This record gives sequence, C-alpha cells and structure tokens, in this order.
Amino acid sequence: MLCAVLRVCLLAVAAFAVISCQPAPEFRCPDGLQEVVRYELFFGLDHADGRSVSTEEWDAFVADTITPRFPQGLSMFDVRGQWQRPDGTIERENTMMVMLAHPPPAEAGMVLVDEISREYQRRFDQDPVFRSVSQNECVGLFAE
Amino acid sequence: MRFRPTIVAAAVAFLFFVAGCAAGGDPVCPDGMDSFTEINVYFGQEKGSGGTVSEEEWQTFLGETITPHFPDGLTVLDARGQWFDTEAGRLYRESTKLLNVLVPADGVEDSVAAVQNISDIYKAQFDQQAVFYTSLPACAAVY
Repeated sequence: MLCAVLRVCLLAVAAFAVISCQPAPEFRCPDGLQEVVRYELFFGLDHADGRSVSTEEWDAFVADTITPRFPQGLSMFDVRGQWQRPDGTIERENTMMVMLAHPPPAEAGMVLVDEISREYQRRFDQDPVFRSVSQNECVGLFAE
Repeated sequence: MRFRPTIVAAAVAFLFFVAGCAAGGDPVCPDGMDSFTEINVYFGQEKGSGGTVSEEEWQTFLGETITPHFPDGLTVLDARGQWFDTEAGRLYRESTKLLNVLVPADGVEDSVAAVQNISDIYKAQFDQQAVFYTSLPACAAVY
C-alpha cells in the first residue's frame, strides 16, 4: 500500500516537474544589437628551433585563411603567452590573439575556427591553436 | 522494504528533470561574484580627414571624455583591426584602441548610454564614421 502511494506521489511530482520546467528564457540582445558568439584564438608565433612566424607570413595567413571565413571584421592583439606542455614544462612565446565573431549557434563558427587552426598548424608546423568560445555576446555600431 | 522498478524509475526521472531544470535556468555567478556586463568598444585610430589619432590625443580623450563616465576602472588594449565596409564594398585595416569595462548588470542601460555619448564625441572629434561595441554577460569580483 505504501509503495502504491509512493509511486503515485513520485509520478505526480515528476509530472509536475516536467510541466513546471519552463524552457530557460531565451537570451535576447537589446534592440539594435545583434547576437553573436565570440571566439578568441591564440596563435603561438615561435618555433622550438628559434624561428618565428614573420609579420609577412602572418599577414598572408590572415588575408588568405582568416579573412575569407570572417570577412566582416576581426581584431588582433600582440600578446605574450605562456602555457604548460603535457610533459609539464612551461612554454613562453610571443602570441597573436585574434578575436572573431559569428552568428549563433556556436558550432557554426567553430567549424570555421577549426579549419583556420588546422591550416595554421599545417603551414607553420605549430602546436595546436588554443581557442575559447563565449556565447550571448551582443554587437552593434554607433554610426551616424 | 523493496522499491519496485517503476518507483525507482519515477524517482530517477524526477531527479533528472530537476537537474535539467536547474541547468536550463539563468546563469548564476559563483558565490562571492556578482553579475556584470563586459562592454568592449573599438576606437579606430585612422581619422576620416587623414592622419591618425596620436597617442597624446588618445590619452587626452581617455582622461577627459572616457574616465569621467567610468571612474571605477577600465582597461585599454592596443589592437590591429580590420572590418568590411558594406557601403564602400572594401576592407579597411586600422590600428584600434579597445576599451574594456565591466559594469553592474542591473545598470547596463546607463552604461550603454554613456558609451554612446563617448562614441559621439569621438566620431565628431576625430572625424570617424562609426564606433563598434559589444556587450557580454560576465561574473566579476575584486580580491
């Protein structure tokens, strides 16, 4: 008898939970702003053998690989980076950080970011490109 | 007392849905952190009339026009930017100052109005066409 009551109660509670579980309020940007996903990519510029990706090589890479995939705009930052290799050693190197935006969903831009990353590794014999993704960013212009 | 499979299944389903509800809710900041909005504003350094905004001009603008709106703190980063002008149909490249500020999430409209005001002055002062800006939910705290 107790089991039967318990079962009914649990089912009722579960049903209630399903009904009352509204979908999360959908994220909306303020009027006039467009929702995008932000990607930050960190390209190591130094080789273990002492060579570095030159400014000319970098500019060519931006023009023929990044720009065609993100033609509307991007920002680049010269930064000093450090990261830990799997063997535990700390690597320091000059790094180019590139900030990109793409309309959601995040997977759509990720496909392009992965292509860029693979081409960078192939062309410059580099370690994998570190990337981060931030969702629910809103972008707009203060224009005339 | 032995539970019947249906009871166990219902209980598991209940827990699953509760967990699902929680995961789908509003993003909540960890204890000790508050909900902020991260605003980034991109100030191109090429003047429409030719030449570039000098470091001195920028520092004056930062001190006189930006800082009074965001006295609590801000960050400026040097960037190289490129953007596509759909009207002109060409790609522009220019040095850019990126202004990064964190503002309390519940007062974000005032902050956006402040950024608009700053941008209007920048455009007029340096003959610029447009200023690009972004906002992003964030959690922040000071140690």
